[in-house]
Amino acid sequence: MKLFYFYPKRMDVPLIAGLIHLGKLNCEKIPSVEELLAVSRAVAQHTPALGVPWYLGKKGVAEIYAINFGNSVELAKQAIAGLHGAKLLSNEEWQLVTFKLKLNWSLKIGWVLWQWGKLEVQGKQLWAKGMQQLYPSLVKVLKE
Amino acid sequence: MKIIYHCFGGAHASPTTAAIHLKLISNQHLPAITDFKNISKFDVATSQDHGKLNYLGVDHLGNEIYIMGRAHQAPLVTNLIKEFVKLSGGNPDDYCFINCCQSFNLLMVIGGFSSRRLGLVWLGRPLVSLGTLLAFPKLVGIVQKIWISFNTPHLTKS
Repeated sequence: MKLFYFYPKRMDVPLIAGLIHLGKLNCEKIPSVEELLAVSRAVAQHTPALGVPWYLGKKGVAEIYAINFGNSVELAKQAIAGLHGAKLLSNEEWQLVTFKLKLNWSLKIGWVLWQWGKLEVQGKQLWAKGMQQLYPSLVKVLKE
Repeated sequence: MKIIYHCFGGAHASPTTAAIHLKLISNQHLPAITDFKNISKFDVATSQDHGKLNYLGVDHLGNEIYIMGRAHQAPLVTNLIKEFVKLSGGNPDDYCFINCCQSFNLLMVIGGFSSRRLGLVWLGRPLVSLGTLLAFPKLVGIVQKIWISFNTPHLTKS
């Protein structure tokens, strides 16, 4: 099975979700800012283009990916459905997973500052704090 | 090889270009405006079809010809298709994506929007057909470039 975590216009939320799924981040304990900043370094080093899956690892039979569809989630879903319809994908299960989570302002503003580049350090700190706030809800949604 | 002609809606430029490629419509002279209604998938696709590969046939060299609408998101959709095919064990290099948007003109945009988005087929279809007629030499040029790149100069210049 291939499992693709995504969240509209972002790569950080699906990445963190994937790492929790793989057990690389502890689901019982909120990670420290330092741990999250280590994740942010991975994002900085390797952020794939839109529509390119980022392989995170394998757990059991599931291959875990994070993917960014930008703001065209429906279009991406239709493209994948079209590939299935044309029988161009393998028969194994391809699952797209997203989260109905409201992002907090620290996460949003931190991400913008970080991506902007000029206030990258402050942006990452703010982002990490926002991710700490979001973490319990993300774990809860993943467990469901 | 799978050759995928794509444009904004997959309803006018790409079906016409694919029809030229498949020799369902002559590249030797301008078609009559009424000929467009005989082109498979012409003025058919809606936004529900965006992103989906639409198979039209096989050319004389065995290439599979597809059309696709992809709104403004050509890089997203082409990346996605290539990457997912790769994950399935297929070869993404077998997929050749050809953008037909450079042929667009104002009549195609207004006619296409009226017919496909607003559902005003009675108004949009004649406009978009006229626009496609005006764009026809450009569409033939796109196909000719493909043939040249495939090293098979089958199409004579119009």
